[in-house]
Amino acid sequence: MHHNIIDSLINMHYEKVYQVICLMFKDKTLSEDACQEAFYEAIKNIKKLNDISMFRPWVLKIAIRKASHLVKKSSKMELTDMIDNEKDISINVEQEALTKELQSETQELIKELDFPYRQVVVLKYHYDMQDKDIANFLDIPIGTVKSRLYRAKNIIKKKIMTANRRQGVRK
Amino acid sequence: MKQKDEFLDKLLSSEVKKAVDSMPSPDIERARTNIKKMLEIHIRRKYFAKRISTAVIIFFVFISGVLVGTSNTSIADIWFIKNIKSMFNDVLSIQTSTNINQAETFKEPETNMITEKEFLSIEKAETLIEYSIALPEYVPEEYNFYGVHIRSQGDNFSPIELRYSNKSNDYITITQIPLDTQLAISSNIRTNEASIETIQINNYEATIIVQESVTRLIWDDFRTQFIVEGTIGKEEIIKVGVSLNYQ
Repeated sequence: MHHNIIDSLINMHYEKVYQVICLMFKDKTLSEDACQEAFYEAIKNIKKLNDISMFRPWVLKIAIRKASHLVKKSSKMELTDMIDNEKDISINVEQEALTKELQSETQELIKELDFPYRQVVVLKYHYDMQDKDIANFLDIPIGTVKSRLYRAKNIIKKKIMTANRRQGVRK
Repeated sequence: MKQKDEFLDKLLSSEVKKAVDSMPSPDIERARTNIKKMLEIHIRRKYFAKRISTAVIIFFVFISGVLVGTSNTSIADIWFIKNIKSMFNDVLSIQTSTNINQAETFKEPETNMITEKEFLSIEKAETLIEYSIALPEYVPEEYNFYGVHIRSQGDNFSPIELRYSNKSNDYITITQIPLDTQLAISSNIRTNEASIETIQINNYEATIIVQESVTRLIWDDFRTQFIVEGTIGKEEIIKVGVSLNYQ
């Protein structure tokens, strides 16, 4: 493949894919490795891609797969589908909610979500993907996507409300 | 409730985007170099694998050729070698090259027309060629003389075909090819489909080939090559061959 095409594909998509992976996996080195491997694999097999406009979702999918694989391999992070529903969310929020504005607080709350929730939230709200597309993208049942989104939103909602309440008490 | 959900969706939509944007920027140059390096290694490996496989195939074919040629018995049992050997060994090649000093070479005019063979009488044929036609003293009883066909009319040394036929239109053909004519005759016969035997015809070595129902006897006396062919048995063909009376 011509070097110019490789350059433009990297220029156009690498940063965004890296940032999404970074937000999902919260590990800079892992994201870097996963993205590089994903781009290498995608460019190597680019002939299989019928529509070049689908390059970013395609490479992102590969990058997610690669990152998950790297995580499993190195056991650095535990990416489990088990989600602790009983986790006390108010402890962390208590101090932060008092000091942060709602918006920046929401960003932090997103980053604090458990990996399975964070993954679907990022795909849903960053790429405006439909539930069935997320299911297809992550190779999980659509019901799982819906329940993860519902729970993720509930967690965020609860945290925001708790934070607001504490801000109100403080004032 | 619905309004709250919509608000949360909007909030998440903008905040997730901001959260993504707030992530540290990657070192694109380093990534580019690494990706290109990986691609180069892949291309090099692919090219190398291609060359290696080509080299292996060439080497294998070469070795097979050498082994088949030298008939190395130690590896004779290897399936592939066995097949290659049988492929070559099962072919009988009969080749005759005739005199190339003949001054004039006759070429049959090229034509798209399909013409039936013209059969002449012995007398007529003898006026057209400059060598004497060998006639058999024996042909099986039911066969009668049908005619002589001159392959290249106008060529005094043209090969001829003597034909004998019976009532069921079976033929015995005796082809005579003068070896003074500029000719190269080559015929490959798969021996696993035919029975082949070497015999003596009037003190000349001859090959007798029986393939399906056709029997063919081939030999030459250094002046003429003879091919006796017909749907008759081996003994009968040999009798016809031996009885050929030529000077």
